[in-house]
Amino acid sequence: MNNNNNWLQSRRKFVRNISFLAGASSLPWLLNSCTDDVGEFELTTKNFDSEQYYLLSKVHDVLFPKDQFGPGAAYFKTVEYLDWVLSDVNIDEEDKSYMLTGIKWMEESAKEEFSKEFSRLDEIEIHELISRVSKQNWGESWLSRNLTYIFEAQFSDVLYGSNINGEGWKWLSHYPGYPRPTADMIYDEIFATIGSRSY
Amino acid sequence: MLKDKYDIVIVGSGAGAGPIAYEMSKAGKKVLVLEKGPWFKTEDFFKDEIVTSRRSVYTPNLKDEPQVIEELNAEGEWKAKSNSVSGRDFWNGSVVGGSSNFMSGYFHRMKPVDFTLLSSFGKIEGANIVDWPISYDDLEPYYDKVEKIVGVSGEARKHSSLEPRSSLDFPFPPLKENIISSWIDEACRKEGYESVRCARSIISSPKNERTSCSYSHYCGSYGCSTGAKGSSRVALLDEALKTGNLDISAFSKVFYLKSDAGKVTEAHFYDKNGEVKKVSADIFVVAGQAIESTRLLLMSKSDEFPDGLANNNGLLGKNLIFSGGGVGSGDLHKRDLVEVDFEELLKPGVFVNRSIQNWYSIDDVDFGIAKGGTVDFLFEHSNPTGKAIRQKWNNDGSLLYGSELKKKMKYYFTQMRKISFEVFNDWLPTDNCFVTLDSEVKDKWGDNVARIRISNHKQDIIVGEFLAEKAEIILKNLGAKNIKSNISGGAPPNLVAGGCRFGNDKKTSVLDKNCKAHEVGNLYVTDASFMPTGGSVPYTWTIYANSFRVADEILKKYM
Repeated sequence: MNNNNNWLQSRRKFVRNISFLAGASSLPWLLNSCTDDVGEFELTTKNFDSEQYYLLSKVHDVLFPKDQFGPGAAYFKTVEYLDWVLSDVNIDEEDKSYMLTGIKWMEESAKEEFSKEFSRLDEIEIHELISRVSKQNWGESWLSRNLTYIFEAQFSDVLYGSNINGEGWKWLSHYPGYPRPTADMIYDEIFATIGSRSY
Repeated sequence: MLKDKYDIVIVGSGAGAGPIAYEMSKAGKKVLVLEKGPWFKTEDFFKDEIVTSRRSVYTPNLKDEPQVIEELNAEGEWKAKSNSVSGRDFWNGSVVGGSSNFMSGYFHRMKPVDFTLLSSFGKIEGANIVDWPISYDDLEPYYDKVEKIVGVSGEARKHSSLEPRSSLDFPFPPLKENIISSWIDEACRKEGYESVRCARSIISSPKNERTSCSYSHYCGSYGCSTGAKGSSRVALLDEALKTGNLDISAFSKVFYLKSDAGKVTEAHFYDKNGEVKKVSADIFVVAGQAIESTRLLLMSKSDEFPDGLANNNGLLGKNLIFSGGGVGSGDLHKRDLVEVDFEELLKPGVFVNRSIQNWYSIDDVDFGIAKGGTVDFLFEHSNPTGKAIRQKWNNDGSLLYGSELKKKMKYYFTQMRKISFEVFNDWLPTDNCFVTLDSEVKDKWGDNVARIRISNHKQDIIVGEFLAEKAEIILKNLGAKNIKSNISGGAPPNLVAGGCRFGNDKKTSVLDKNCKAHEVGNLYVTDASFMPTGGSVPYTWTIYANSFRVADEILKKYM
């Protein structure tokens, strides 16, 4: 019989080898996605290999670029955030599989549309590819889901490690509300913290 | 360490449970509250959108605890689907204090006419309308009690549909308001509407250990970090604990009420480790919110009650109701409001707190005579992810991304503010809205889950649209653009009642007028399940008031 597993088990494990609680600025995140040479990356993502990481970085850059309005996806480390999302033991397996399948479809689309691998596309071709797939049902849906996670990354509390220095709020003059969460009560820890108490 | 026996065992800990626990423990009775969820304290609540709104922390994982939703499809066939597949979540807060922790606390009393819906407005074909077995006057002292004990802030400004009150004014003064509140007052004056200052279950000055509202900008859906919001947990259970007579057992999922000779003798529950525990008591109170309370009684079969506890007339689970109505909104743009200080409009934290109730009972030349409802005005929720998600679509429905999306977001967050309204009108009880046990789908403990058939009466939509039209006029008067509303038969999961309707006739109701099961000598149901009709306001104040009333009845009977 299942018991209240969520509340009994520490879920530190799926934060991988990175402590989100140590302060975002010192974390060994990957080089940002503007870098083309993926071979030099110290890949720390649990769910993506280097090619998948590269593809997602490029897609996120197009979906949410750095521009005159504010920081872009790379600044908010949205691919790492998505990796964290997919590592959640509570995530629906279908949702997880959908995000990974979308990467596969993007790779296939690159071959169909430009007769080359995604990693060989130049910036213009990447923009064109995203424009084309966004007009297909699967593409629109998958890109839309990525945007949702990009939003979550930039608006989540700084303790989650993506909303660096609260810039996700600042560029929109957003007042985040107080009190802000403590390290033991963010999503990673809250089940273990509350579940370990005796009443 | 729990005792083997209590004077009273309460299943659930929300608005229906808190007043019973409070009154019984203060009267010296030994009380046990069994809550299936964890126990968050005031200091455990933060403004964390991921925890509160983006993941299921305060509600169960639907894979672990699904419910089956049954609705008519486009072909007119009933189709059932587990919400572990559809994601349609009908849980509202499985924690100590229940969903009262996460309510917005828009507090309206039901009005006298709500207690006599059948005799005031007559029959409606296809709707199982009845008068209540109690009157507004019976409940008024308890509405008053809630104002003082749970804590309600507001102002009893005279208006044509103000309910009779035994106290001149509210015990807590109105909360601070955004500048838009005065604009709504003015817009209503121009249109000949009465602008009503909506009461809130949020205290504006300290009470015991509770500090007053901090205007944190995040209220509805969030647990209160100051204790200002009148949750059952902070307002009642925390106070009851001080007596030393109350035990609260979190992670305790009751799955069976054992009965013998017309009385409940034991509650059986799974503890934190999934082990079965049993506790006995003289009195049992069920308050697990309408759907799950019904489910527990349906699961509690015995030789005496082969179709479920207190269900020998087959009415258990019938006449489930939600709240009719819907939502509407309009956009206020800085560029259109050059003569006002737009920064004042953007000011976070402070409230709108305005309602219109001119059409609580409709007597309109074109529309005719009917039961109407309430409109509450409010700002769009502050959750930034939620706001951003709504910006990622172009007007033609295509996906917006890149700098164009960011430009739109920048404008949306800094150059405009969305003002919304919510319409509340009766969800008429019908034969096609009820709870049963699903025969196949089971929860993580292996028990059959609730199957909820949902259907609304067409009158709910007609009335809702009438009220939304009136509200849209106010938004237009405010200078809002892109005004729209959506009145539908969609069931709001957080506004659920019925299933164990109360009444004087054993053949047509599950509970008697004091919310004791007709067929069971010591079983009470005190969440919103008792309500045969729901009124045209959110339910929480009425649940609290009725639970205080039932507590008095129990004390009269057993003390």
